[in-house]
Amino acid sequence: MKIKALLVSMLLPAAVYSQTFTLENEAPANPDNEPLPCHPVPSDRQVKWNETEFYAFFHYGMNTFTNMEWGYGDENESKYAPLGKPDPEQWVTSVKAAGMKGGIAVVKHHDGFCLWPTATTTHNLTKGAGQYHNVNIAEEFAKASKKHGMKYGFYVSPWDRNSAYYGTDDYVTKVFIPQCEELAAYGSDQFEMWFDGANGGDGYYGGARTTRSVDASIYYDIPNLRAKVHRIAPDCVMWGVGDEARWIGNEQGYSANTCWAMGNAETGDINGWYWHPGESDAKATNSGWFWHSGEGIKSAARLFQMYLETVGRNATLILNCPPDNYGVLPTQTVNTLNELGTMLHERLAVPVYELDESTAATDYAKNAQITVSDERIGGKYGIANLTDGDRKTYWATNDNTIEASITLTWSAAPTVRYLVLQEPIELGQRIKDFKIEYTQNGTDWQELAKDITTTIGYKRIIPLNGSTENSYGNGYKVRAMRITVLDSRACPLISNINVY
Amino acid sequence: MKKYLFSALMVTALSANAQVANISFETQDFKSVSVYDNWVNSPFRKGILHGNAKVVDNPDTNVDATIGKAPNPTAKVVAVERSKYGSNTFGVRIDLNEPFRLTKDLQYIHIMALLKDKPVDSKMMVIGLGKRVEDEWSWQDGTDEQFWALSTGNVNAQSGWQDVVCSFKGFSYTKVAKPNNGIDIYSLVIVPDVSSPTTETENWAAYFDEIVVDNDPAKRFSTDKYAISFDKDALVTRTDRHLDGIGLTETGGSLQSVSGLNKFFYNDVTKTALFSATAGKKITPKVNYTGSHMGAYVYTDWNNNGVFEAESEMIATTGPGNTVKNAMAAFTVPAATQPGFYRMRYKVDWSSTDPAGNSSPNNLITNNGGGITDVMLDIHEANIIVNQSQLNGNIYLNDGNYTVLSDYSHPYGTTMSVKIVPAEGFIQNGFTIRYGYDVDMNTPQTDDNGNPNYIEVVVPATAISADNTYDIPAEYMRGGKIMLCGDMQSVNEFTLVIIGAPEGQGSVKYAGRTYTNGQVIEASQFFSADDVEVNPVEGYAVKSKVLSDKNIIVTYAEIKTGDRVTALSQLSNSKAYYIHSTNGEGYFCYNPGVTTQYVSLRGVTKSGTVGNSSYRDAIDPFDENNSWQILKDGEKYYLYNVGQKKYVTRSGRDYLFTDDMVALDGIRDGGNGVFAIHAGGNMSETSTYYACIVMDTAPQGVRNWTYSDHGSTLWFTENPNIEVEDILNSFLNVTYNYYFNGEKKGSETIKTKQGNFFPEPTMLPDFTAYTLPTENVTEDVTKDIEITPATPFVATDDEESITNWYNIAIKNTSSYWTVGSDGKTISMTTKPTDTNDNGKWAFVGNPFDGYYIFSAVQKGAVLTSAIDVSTNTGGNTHPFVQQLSKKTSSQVNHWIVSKSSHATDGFFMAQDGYPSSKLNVRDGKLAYWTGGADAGSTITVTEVSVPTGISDIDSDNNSTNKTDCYDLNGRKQKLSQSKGIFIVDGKKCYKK
Repeated sequence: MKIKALLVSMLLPAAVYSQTFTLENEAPANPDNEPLPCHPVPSDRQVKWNETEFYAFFHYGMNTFTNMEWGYGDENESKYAPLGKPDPEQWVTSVKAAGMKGGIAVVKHHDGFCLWPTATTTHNLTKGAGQYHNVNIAEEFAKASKKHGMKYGFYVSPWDRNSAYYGTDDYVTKVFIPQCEELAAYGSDQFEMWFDGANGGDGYYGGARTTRSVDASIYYDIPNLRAKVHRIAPDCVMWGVGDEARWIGNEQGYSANTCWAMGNAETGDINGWYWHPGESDAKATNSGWFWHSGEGIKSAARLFQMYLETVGRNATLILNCPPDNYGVLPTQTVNTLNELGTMLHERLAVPVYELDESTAATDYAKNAQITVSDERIGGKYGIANLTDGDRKTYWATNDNTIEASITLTWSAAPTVRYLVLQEPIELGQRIKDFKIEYTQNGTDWQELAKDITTTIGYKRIIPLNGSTENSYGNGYKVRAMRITVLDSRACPLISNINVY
Repeated sequence: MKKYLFSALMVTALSANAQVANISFETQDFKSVSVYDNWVNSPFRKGILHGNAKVVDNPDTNVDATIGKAPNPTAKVVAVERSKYGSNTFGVRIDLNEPFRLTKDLQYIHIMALLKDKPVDSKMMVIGLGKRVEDEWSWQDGTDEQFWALSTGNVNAQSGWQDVVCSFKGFSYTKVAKPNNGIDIYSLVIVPDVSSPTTETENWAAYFDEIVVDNDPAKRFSTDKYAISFDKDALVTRTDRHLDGIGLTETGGSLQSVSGLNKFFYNDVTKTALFSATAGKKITPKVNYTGSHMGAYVYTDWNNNGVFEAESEMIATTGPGNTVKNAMAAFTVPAATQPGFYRMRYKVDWSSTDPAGNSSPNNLITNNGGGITDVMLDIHEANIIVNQSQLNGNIYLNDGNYTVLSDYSHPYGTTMSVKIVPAEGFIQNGFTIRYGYDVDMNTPQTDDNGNPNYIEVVVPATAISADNTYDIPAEYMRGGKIMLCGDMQSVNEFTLVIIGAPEGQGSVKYAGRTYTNGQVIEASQFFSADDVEVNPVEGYAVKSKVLSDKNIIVTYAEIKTGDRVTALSQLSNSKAYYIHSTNGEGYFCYNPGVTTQYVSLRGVTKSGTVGNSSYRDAIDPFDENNSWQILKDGEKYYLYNVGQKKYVTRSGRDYLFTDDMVALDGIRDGGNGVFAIHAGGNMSETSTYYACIVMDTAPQGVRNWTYSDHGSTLWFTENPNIEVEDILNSFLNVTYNYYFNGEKKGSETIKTKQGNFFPEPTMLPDFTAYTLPTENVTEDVTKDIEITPATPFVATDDEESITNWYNIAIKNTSSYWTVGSDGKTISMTTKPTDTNDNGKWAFVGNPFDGYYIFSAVQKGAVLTSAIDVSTNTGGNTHPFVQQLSKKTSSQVNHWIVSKSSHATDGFFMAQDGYPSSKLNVRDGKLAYWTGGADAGSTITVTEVSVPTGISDIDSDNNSTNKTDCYDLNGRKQKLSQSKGIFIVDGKKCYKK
């Protein structure tokens, strides 16, 4: 026995081996009594991505000229023939007027036609026709976005129906990853790369004209693609197949009232083990994703509803505004975007370029007298953090306090319609259930927006009449409003309250 | 040999399955161990905490009773301290001596885990760290995460070692083997718990050992009772192959079966289904299966040890693959088999006798269309022994002789009729049937293997016949013993008391019988007032039915009719009233089925469309929501709903309930007992619009409309069935004195309840701001309130003080007021430039007194109009600009502003003294509209950006000594030369 033990100890270094295991109970210093994160938590790039909130999708490419939604991949390059000089700057400024903070340009759809002079294939815009085919969409889009202070990124379809390599071992190493690298080089400050979930099917495939399928979970070598792109663009969230943000599960501009930033689909999953926030992709027009002649555009009121049902429900909204065959956004799109920006500005104080601060919705939280039922010991988690405009500071309760309330009181009753709440998601998403009540006389309280006040997350916008379709209404004249957290995964934290 | 007998030589047992990694920790078969956290801001990544992971002696080499051996007898294991300060991806990192290559096919990591201190059931995870091997990826250092493999199900906290399997795959080249391409894994991170540690109070230790990576998905062993080789909750995925049902036939008997098994791969029906058989008899199992190519296998755990022995306990099979449609051979139950419940397993699989299911990588039972169902088999004798254990009574055999059920022998599986006899003062309450082999009252329902000791069925009181007999179905007369147990209910007597009905009238129904006043109802101890149905009495309504002690008290109330009010002077604060249409269009009420926000309707009798079907509900005279107090306080009237204890105010066209004590604007007496109600807000002008019933609208059954409309003509009828008191007497008085710029502008007294906030002022003009006290009202009180203006424009006290100029627009036309070249008429134009004085206006005044609107065209020039155009709708009266001093008695040049909801910071402007004469646009000119306050009358202002100090030079100045001036480049000019901006006396001036 002793010999055996000696032999064992000779085989395993003393630093590695010990007879028994003793807990060390290490703990970091926490002089400010900061709450522990409630995992999972987002990465820094995911936080920045979430802060983008509302941005545009620009579906433009070969399909704009073939009147298709999914090109087969055998389209002759000369069909790409813009009738006017494509103007990504016009795209960017138009959506900026709607209150959007960025955009994603489609630069390669499933048909495989690339809108930048890629070295990976000749199937690109350099082979187009007409006077304006050589405008490097990716480059011009990146430049315009930087010029106007807008975030930007690219949609590049993993599925390539034109490429002879698709479905083979070489596609990812010879085509897909190099294409992503080329696009990442257009700016290290890209915020999102969009990878469509449509993978595999029939296609041209370099003349094979066959059906090819792949195991999308491994074919694109996403772990190493992420590593490579993040080396160049560290804040670039890889969407969809890239698995750093998820598809909300529909294309209607809708997220569920209960929406966790983990898991999948409309509601997410409270038990999801990694941060996987939802993005809702939806069309502003009433036709396809690409521009089609004669299409109409949804009303600003409908788009405002979609905003409430996505950005207002812990998801981001990527709203598709397809440029036409002149390479610009149609006038009706521009006009509606302006109208939407005005609505967002006047109802929710969304900062919109060229709209004066004086016309922004009044935030009545700022002049309310606020009291709370519990405040975390430490001196850094008080009431002032709720209205200081800094999302990183927050009000918190003590560790064992799950139920807590925040009461806002006004000396002159404002008429209010919307309540905005935010959690500091750097510490995870916690709140599971809450309620909103108001009083006009200080003694009789009534509940508002019943049955929809569950999760919060990055941002929750509650129309106080409970309707997103007719949210503006008459409003409620309130002398006091009380928000009560009823259930939470850990001590609740709220970083921001607005009352419009 | 038992399936899960564990061999200490783990490596040998798995060597045939292409292992690519094997770490036992007995020797230095790993490079290093440390902690790892995927969370970028982890204190373990930032060096704040160093973590605790090392190789230690195996803390548990005990024998497991289920498998009969020690699951892990090895000497060394790796341990990690799971810290509450790490994330849910914190674990032990094991660096490999040699990397292994990822494949596109699934590979499996087998880990022995000892997690006795794990606080919650949760999944484990393995993270693979590695890199691409191609040259162009040489910048990677082998620590990039390449896969995240979760365990198939929760790994529970338990005292002994368990085997955990996680699967993974990754990008690799497929068609041509390329040794220099692909992904290599250099390290494995074992995460013991992927749930968040946030609420954990202590760190805990996790132990791992015998880590093997290969292509075998099977667990090396399982200590689970009746183990299966897949996730118990897995759903069936194939539509062409699945197990649908199972059955058993004893020779000479009928088919016993269970169906509906095609949703889950595994079905446990041991608590709900029971097959019966007899020792020494032959039984033939069968399966009902969709598809082919499979085989069926049936096992029975004869020794009740929690394990199905693949060889000795398989009682029937159709054969290997492609035999599932064949009949199984009959099996003779050994004659010596003791009576009891035995667990059976039916399995459909492909050529595998493993009771847990085929776990070969290419033939998993969950892929090949298989399925498993567990059911109990009752090996019984000819008779069962019946006993009963009732409190407050007995259950006898229903044979007319009251045969006692004490070890009573009854034929197995046949119906038995029983008679329940409660003790004196009690009634039957149903009973529970417990059948099995150990039915003692203290026996738990399941044994250590999770099999039922007995099955329980509850027979409710309602299933017992009126003569207290019950036929126990044959399916419950099984097992070896039966216990009939329960408790009777005590009988309660309740005397019916009728109040309020005429003599001899009033009655109730209960359990099929009618009872009148004074009669005794015999009921159980669970009797409640809701159990009786009150019979109606004409002319009376049921006010209440209450159970009180030994009485059930039913109160009727005569429906009284009240008088209609014919003059406002007849109204009383101490009476309740209906407010209703003169022609059957409904009664004002609170109707929560339609809306809780707006005044709604009931009692609509007039034909026609109604906005909500409940508008036609009959009026309940005792429902306080249908009654109102019309409170008079001095000259003010308040409308107060008795049921909701709320007042009514108006917003737009809608009448809303409010807690605020808001006075009506007035009640108009139309004569002949017909009235109209006008409710507004603070200081609204009189109007021709009144509360009007709109019975075809929902949810707002009442909206503002013209007085002449039939819906606006209302009756007030007293409702004597509702008693109220004058609530005004219970209010406190809050008196406000309003001050503006130090001058008192008015005061008012508002009533409110004790403890409420200080109420909102009701008489202030629009665009005023104030601050109310923050404390609550506790007594009558007077407060001075300082009022400040909150207009969208800055107004001054006089023309000389003007600092802000504005362009003024009418919202719906986006047209701007611009004075014409004649210096007088005002037309609508596009937005004037900032230097165009014709489009610039300033406000002098305040919200209380009104405003002069000065034009920049000429000093002293103000907006002026002919007076009193209130009779002109549309019309051709156009305001113009005129010197303030030249106003005539037939003109007005002072204006009142009020809020418009049609634009942010929008407002109406009306002649001072003539509030209905609101400015509008006609024929491209500023004009009037008295038809209503709408978007066309809504005014918005935009401040003009003006260089400081520019003032006008009029002709008078020009003719004086102001001849020297300079242009903006500093060149001397003659003032008379041209128009423009010049510097005069050091200040910028504009020469027209």
